[in-house]
Amino acid sequence: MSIAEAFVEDDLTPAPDEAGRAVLNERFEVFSGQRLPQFDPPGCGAFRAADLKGRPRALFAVICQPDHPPRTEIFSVLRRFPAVPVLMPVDAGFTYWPPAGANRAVLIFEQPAGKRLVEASVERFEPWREDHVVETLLRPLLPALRELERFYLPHRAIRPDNIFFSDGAQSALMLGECVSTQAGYAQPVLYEPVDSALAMPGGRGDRTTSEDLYALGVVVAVLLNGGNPLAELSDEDIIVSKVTHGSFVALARHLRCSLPMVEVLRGLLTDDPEDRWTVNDLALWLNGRRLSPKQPVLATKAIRGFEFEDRTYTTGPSLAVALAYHWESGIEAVKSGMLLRWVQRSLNDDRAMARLESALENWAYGEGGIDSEHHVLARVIMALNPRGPVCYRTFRASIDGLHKAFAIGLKDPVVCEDYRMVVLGRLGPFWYSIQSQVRPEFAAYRKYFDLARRVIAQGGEEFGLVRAIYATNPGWPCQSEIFAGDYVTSPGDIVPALERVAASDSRPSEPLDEHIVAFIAANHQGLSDVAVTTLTRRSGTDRSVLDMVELLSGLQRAFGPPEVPRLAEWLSASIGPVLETYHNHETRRRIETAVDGLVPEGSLNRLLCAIDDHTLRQGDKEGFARAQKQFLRLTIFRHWIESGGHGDPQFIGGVAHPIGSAVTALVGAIAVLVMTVLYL
Amino acid sequence: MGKSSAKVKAAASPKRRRGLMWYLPWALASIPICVVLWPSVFLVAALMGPSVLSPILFGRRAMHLTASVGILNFVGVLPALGRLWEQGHEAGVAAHMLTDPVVWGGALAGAGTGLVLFFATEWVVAAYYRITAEARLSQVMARQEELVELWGDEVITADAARLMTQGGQATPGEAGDLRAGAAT
Repeated sequence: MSIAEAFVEDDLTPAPDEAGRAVLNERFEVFSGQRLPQFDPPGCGAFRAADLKGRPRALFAVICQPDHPPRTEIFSVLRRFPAVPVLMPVDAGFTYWPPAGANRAVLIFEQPAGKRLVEASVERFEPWREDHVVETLLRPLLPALRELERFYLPHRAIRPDNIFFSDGAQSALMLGECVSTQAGYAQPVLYEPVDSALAMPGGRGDRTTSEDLYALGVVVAVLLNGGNPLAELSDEDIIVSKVTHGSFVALARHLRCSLPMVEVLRGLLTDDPEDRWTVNDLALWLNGRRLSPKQPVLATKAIRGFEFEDRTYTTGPSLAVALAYHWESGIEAVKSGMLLRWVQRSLNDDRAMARLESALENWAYGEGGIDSEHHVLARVIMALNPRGPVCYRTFRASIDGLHKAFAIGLKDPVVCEDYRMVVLGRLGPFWYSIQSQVRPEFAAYRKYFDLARRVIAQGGEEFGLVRAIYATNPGWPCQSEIFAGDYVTSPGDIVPALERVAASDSRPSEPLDEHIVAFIAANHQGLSDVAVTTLTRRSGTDRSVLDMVELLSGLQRAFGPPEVPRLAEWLSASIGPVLETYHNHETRRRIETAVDGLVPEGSLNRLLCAIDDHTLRQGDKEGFARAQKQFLRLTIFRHWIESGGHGDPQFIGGVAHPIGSAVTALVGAIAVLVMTVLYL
Repeated sequence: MGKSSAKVKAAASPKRRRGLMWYLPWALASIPICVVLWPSVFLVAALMGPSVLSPILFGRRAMHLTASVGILNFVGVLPALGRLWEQGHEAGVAAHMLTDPVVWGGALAGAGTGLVLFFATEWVVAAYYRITAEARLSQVMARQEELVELWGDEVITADAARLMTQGGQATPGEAGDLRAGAAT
C-alpha cells in the first residue's frame, strides 16, 4: 500500500458546505467541500481554508492521517522561523473534521504563488541548464537550509514534487511543507542517503540537515538529467547501486556537466555524512570558491563475487542490502557457512571479518529464548553494512528511527513482533558496538533502547509493546481505539476527550484501555506509578477500577475541567467490583446512593472518595467479623436446639435449680413473716 | 478452646479454693455460741437432719436442692425453737421436745415442701423450654436470615456451614460456645 493510499477515504469525501465546515482555533475555516489536490502532500488531503480574523489571503489546510501524527514537536520551532523560502504552517492544531466525523490534525498554509517544481506524476521533462539550477534552486534555497541547520531542524522532505515556485514568474523556488508526515516518511528511496534508504519509510529517523543536503544533491541530479536517472531500477537496485558505486557515481555518471557542477554534486552526494558538504560549503561554492570534495571511500571489493539470488555481489554493503530484501534465502546463506567463507577468502576486509565474527559469537542456531537464526542474520547484515539500518525480517529502521517505525506500524502485527525481537535480541547495542565512531547522540538512542527493552521485558507481549510506543516516542498521540474520533496529544486532553466519548452512543464498557494508561505512564510523571500498576492488573477487578478512577481523578485535578458529569456517570457504571468489596449490603446501597448524587457534580475525586472511604471500609471489615462470629454462635445455638438441647437434664437443672432455690427462699421468708405475725 | 482452658485455670487458682484456714475462724467463733446456746443448737441440729441428709441422697453438687430443703426445713424448726425459748431454753426441754411427733412433723413438712418446690420448679422450667423451643428456633433463624441479607453469604463461615449441613452433636470445642448461645 502506498503512502497516498493509506489515507482514510472518508477524510477526502466532500461534505455539504454548511455541514462540512471546520474551524481551527476559532480563526481558520476549512471547507471540506473544496479540495485543492494540487497542494496534497503524500498521504494527506489539502482543502481550501480562510482566515476569519486576519487579512484576506489564499490559504489551504492539510488534513493529516489519523494514525500517522504530524511532526508536532517542531511546530513551536517553526513559529520562530524568520521569513525563509520554506512553506511554514500559519497555524496548526486539532479540530473536528466533518467528513470523517472525528477530530484530525489540521495544518494551515499559505498557498504558494507558483506551482510545484515537478509534479509527482511527471517522469521526464526538459533537463535544466546548470546556471538555471544554481540561480533558481540552490541560491534561493540556501537561506532556508541555513536556518534549518541553525535550528537543528532537518526538513527531510526535499524532493522535486515538494519544491514550489515562489512566484508566478518561476524565477525562484521554495521548499514545501515538512510537518504533515514524520521525517523522511514520504521520501522516495532515491532521495535518501545509503544509511537510511534501506529503512522502512517510518524508520528513517529525524537525522540532520546533512540528509537534506544529500536530497538537494539528488534534486540537482534529477533536474540536470530531466528526470530520475535511476528510474528503471527497483528500490533494492537503487540502494545496491548506491552502496556499490557510491551515490555520486550511481546518480551522476551519465550526466554531462561542468566541473564546478560535478564538484557540488560530488560534495552533496557524498555517502559518508562526515565528509558530505555542509551548508557553509554550499554557500562558499555559490560564492565562487571552488572546493575539492573528498573522494568517496567505497566499500572493499571482493576478489570473487558472492552468488546470491541469481546475482553476484562484490561488496559487503551491497550483499547486506540483498540479504535484507531476501531474508529466508539470507538465513540459508549464513547457515551454510558460504557467506563466512566468502568474507574470509574473497573480501579481504579485516574489519568486516572482525565484525562478522562478533556477530556470530555466542550464537547458535535454535538455541536461546528468542528466534536465534533471524537474530544471527540481522547481526550479519549489520556487520556487512555497519552504517545501514537495523534489519530484522521485514522490519528495517535506522537506529534513531527504530521506535518511530514501530509506532507508525503499530497496526501491523508483523511490525510489532519484529520490533519486539529487535529490542529483546539487543540488536541496537550490537549496532553501537560495531560503529567505527562513537557519536554523542548514541547516548540518547541507547537510553530509549534500554527503556524499550525494560518496559517490554516487564510487560511482555500483553502491554509491554503498548508502553514502549509512548515511552520511546515522546509526544506521540494516544492510539487508543476509544479516541478514534479524537486526537489526544497530552495528558490534559484525556479527561475532556473521555467526556466527549462518554456522551456518544458507542462508548465501551470502561473509559480506559492499555493505550491510554500507557500514554499516561509515559507522559505524566505524577501518575506514572499508578498507571504502570494499572497496566498489570486484570481488567474488571476492584483494584483495576479503583486505579482507573484514581488515574482519571488525578488527571482532572491536574488539568481539569472541574466538571465531567458524563464521564462520572460512565465510571459509576463500572464500580460494581469495588462495591462488592464492601460486605455490608446496606453500605453498598448507601455508596450507590452517594455516587448517584455525586455524578451530576462531575468531580472524579469526590467519586473516588465515595467509593474508597477508608473509615467506611475499616468499619465494614470489623462489622463483618462481628457478624460472622454472631452467625456462628446462632448456628451453634440453632444446632443445639434442633438436637434437643432444651431437654437436656443438665441444662434444665442449670436453669431450674437456682430458680427453685429462690422460690423456696421466698416461700420460707413468707412463712417466717406469717409465723412472726401470728406469734405477735 | 482458649476460653475453656482459661476457665479451668481460674477454677484451679488458690483464690477460689477455701482451705482449712478459711473455716478455722468460723469454727472458733461458733464454739462459744454452741456452749451458750447449747439447747437450741442441739434441737436445731437434730431437726435439721433432712437438710444434712439431702446432699448425701442427691449428691454434693445439688447445692441448690440442699438450700431449698434447708431453708424450709429451718422454717419448720422455728416453731419448736420458739417453744424451747418460751420454756426456759433448757437441754431437758429440748430433749423432751425431740420426742414430740408434732415437732418432727413440722420439721419434716418444711423439708418436704422445699423438696417438692425444688422439683416442681425443674418440671416447670423444662416445660417452659419445651414449649418455647419452636419460637426460639424461629427467632434464631430469622436473625440468621437478617445477617445473611445484610452481609451476604460470606457471613456464613466454614465452621457455621459445617454445623448447618452436618447432623449430630457439636464438637467438644464448641461446647463452651453452645452454652454461651443458649444463654443468648
